[in-house]
Amino acid sequence: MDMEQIAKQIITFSRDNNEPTWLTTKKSLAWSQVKNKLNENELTMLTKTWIESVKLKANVAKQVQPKFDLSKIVKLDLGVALQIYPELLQENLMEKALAWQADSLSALHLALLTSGQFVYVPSGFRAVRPLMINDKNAANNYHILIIVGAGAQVDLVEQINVAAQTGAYLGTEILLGSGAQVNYYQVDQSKSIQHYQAVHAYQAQNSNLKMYLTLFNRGNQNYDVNIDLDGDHSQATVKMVAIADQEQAQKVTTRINNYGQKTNGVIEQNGVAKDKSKIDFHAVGKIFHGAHGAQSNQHSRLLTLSKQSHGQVDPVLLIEENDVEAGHAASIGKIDEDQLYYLQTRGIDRKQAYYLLTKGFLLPVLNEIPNETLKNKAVAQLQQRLQ
Amino acid sequence: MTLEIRNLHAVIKATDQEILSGIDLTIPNGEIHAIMGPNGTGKSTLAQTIMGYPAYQITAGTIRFDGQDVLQRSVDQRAKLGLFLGMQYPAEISGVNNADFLRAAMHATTPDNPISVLEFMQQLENNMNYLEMDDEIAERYLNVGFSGGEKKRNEILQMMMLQPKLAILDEIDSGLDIDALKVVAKGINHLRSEKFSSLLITHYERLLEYVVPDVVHIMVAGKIVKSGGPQLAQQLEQTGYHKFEVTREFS
Repeated sequence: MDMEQIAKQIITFSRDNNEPTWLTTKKSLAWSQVKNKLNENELTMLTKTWIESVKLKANVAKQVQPKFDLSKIVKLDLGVALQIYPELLQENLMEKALAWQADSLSALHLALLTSGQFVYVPSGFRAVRPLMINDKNAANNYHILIIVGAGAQVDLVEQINVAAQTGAYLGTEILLGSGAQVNYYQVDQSKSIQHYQAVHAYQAQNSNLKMYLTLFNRGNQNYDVNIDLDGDHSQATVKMVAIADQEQAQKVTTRINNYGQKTNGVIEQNGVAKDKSKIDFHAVGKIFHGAHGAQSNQHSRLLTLSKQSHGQVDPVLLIEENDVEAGHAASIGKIDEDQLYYLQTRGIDRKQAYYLLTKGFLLPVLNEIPNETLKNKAVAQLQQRLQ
Repeated sequence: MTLEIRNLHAVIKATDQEILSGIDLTIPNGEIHAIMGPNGTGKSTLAQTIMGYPAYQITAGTIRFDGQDVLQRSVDQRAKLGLFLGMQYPAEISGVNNADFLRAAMHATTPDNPISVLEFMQQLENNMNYLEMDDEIAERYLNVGFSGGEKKRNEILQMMMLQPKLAILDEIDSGLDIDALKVVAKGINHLRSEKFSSLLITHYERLLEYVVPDVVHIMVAGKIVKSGGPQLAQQLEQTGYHKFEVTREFS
């Protein structure tokens, strides 16, 4: 891969798609920063199919009829949004929740960004139905920016599938204004072989975010959740369900940073590893200096279904303040033999019993999803993944 | 559908300790037998061995049901033959809904005769009413947070739904108050027919007042030492097991 050629193409693509000049500059800067830092494997993961996605995307954003309206829910192609709301995006795109300068991979993600979506929920808006954010055939470098205004309430469902069996980087950032209340459900069924997924959130005071993340993909995966509880009294709960089988490897890191006072973060990770697969759960709760009265709790459970399946659970609490509450629990275990026996005494064969017990291990988490439609969807998808 | 156990010896796999030391027992179709005996004498081990609990190893003897070799079969295959074990300590299984579990079990034991959802719900409702169980029990996770009495009723409910040919009920009466005991007994008697046989394992004579057995066996130290009619249970209530324990020591 010719580095100079890509540098030129980044600029050409940006101009051809009428992207704002600040973005063209930012992308070029990002590329110049990462091209020498990342090794060839990391680079080719995204650059390999980048040229293709550039060709596909070339004409889409030109058809925009600019119509500025932020009084209703906005849901747009990212390229289109960049033309209609350039200032809003300049301030928020990869700046607050998923900062492009945080690490090389994020910088690469921005440099090669060709597609994604932009969602805006205006202040005070109360959405009755869940808002669906989907793309069945997403490009392998895809970004979603969600802004939820002050006091708004919304249930978000994200289902982005990378159909191509390549490497992929999917980034989602959610910004919550003060008092915003968001239930966010993400199902990952991507077919990509090497998959990097980042879900980052930034929360202003009194906001409340509940995340339900289902890792039902079939490739190797790095999954990175990061939530910054910046405003006082903001709270976040991350509940995660992961399944790995065959030779799949999932590495999951969930981190909640308590910056504000009386902030509350809860992490719950649940995984099932079958066959020769591997799941690593890292959970980090960090309470920063000055976050008086903050709470940080985490719970990770891993079920290994075969002798060859394995994984690790790594709970970390980093505390810089005294008047806080924090706790963690972690376990790795096998299917309970007595439960298995009990089901078998009722005529249920071993395979079916394993299915029921595995489902039973994950189901109570999904049953907590507050929206009935989302819950049913999640349960159906779990069943589909287990079969 | 006769259960025939011949010279059955079993040890605990982990310790090699012998628990069953030559059991001979025949339960013909349509009969209810009771096994009584002191603590730690191997009654529950016998029940679990018939069903195939993996912690026990058979060292000698045979178990046949309806002429079929039981010991050659897996636990679920034994259930499919028509054997049922009502447990003293049923497993609690979070995330598995009681009704869904029952449906899966019925489907597994009678795959050729699938039951419709509506039919299933009706049967379930009827049987739960018969056993005076709360409706919500059907939707709760299997045995999770159930009281002792609810667990035992739930075992009987499963038995009524699955309609086994032979039900082994291991201390189904333990921890039950008199009202619950009557309900459980009602459930067993409900199934009593020429096509159903049962093996009741109990410490106390009380259950046998409500479910009158055809034969009572007394088990001591891994062997059946005496068999007789229902009056044997009443006799035991007065004399205790001591007499039989002594007899065995000298024999």
